[in-house]
Amino acid sequence: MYLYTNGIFSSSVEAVIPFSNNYSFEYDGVSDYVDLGTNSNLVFLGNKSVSVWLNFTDSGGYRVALNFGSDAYGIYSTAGKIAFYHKNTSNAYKDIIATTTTNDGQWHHYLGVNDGTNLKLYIDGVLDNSNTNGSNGTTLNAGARIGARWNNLSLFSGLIDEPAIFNTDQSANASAIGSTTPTDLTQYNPLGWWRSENSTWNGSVWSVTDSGSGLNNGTSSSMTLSSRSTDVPT
Amino acid sequence: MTYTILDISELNNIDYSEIPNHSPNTVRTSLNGLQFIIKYEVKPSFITDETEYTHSEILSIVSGSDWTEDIDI
Repeated sequence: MYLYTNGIFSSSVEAVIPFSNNYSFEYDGVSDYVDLGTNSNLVFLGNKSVSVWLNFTDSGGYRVALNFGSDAYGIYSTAGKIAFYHKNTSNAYKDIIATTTTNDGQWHHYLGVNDGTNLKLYIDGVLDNSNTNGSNGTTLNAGARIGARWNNLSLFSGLIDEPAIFNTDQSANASAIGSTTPTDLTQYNPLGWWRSENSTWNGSVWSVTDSGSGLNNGTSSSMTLSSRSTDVPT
Repeated sequence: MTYTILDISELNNIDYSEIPNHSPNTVRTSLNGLQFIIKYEVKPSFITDETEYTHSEILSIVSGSDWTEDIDI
């Protein structure tokens, strides 16, 4: 870009910060979670997708990695497998559980999609399972959490990286988002995207910036400075 | 990280500036409300002869029915 000011031409260059991913957050499964508040824009009707990288070894039941609303939708682990859940238009709980066990202490990407008719679960960019439990969803709201259910129970034990939600069907982008390593999600227009990279420690809590809509910044609970880990998907 | 289980009567008596839980609102309480869990990297001054647990030990404890809800959804 060239500017002409007082008879002088000058040029400017827009700085583009390259995408990098150097941090994740480790959740202890005891009391660690990030509170994303109760903003109603996170609990909506229509298509939705949830994307997250997880690294866990826990084999227990119902450990919630991501929860939005009063179990309106989210991701949990059970018996070493990941499930994507939502409440349908009748507020009945519906989910889809992976066919593949992934509590191997390695990073995997999970994409849960509700396209209004089907629930689909992609692992590492590949469709793992689907059923016809999809629906328009519910707007029952009780707050959103990373690492726990809305009531701060059923806590997740393991590493969580790049959690994001979309008010769109991201099936077509499953491979691009999850087949290799974390990527810049900006091009997919996430409604919420909580990057460990963009989090700051104030001496007591982590402030987790929403890099999606920017409306739903999070605050950690019970986490420490060392909760941010350099163990990331590579 | 080290974990300790305390009686709920201590909930408002301990010095939260010594632990990462920071306030009574961020501790994990048992489902019957009679106990709560704190964690720390440096042993707080108010911890004396209470039993201390490692992360794996406390994970096993909170997996039990006293600490984990029976999901009915």
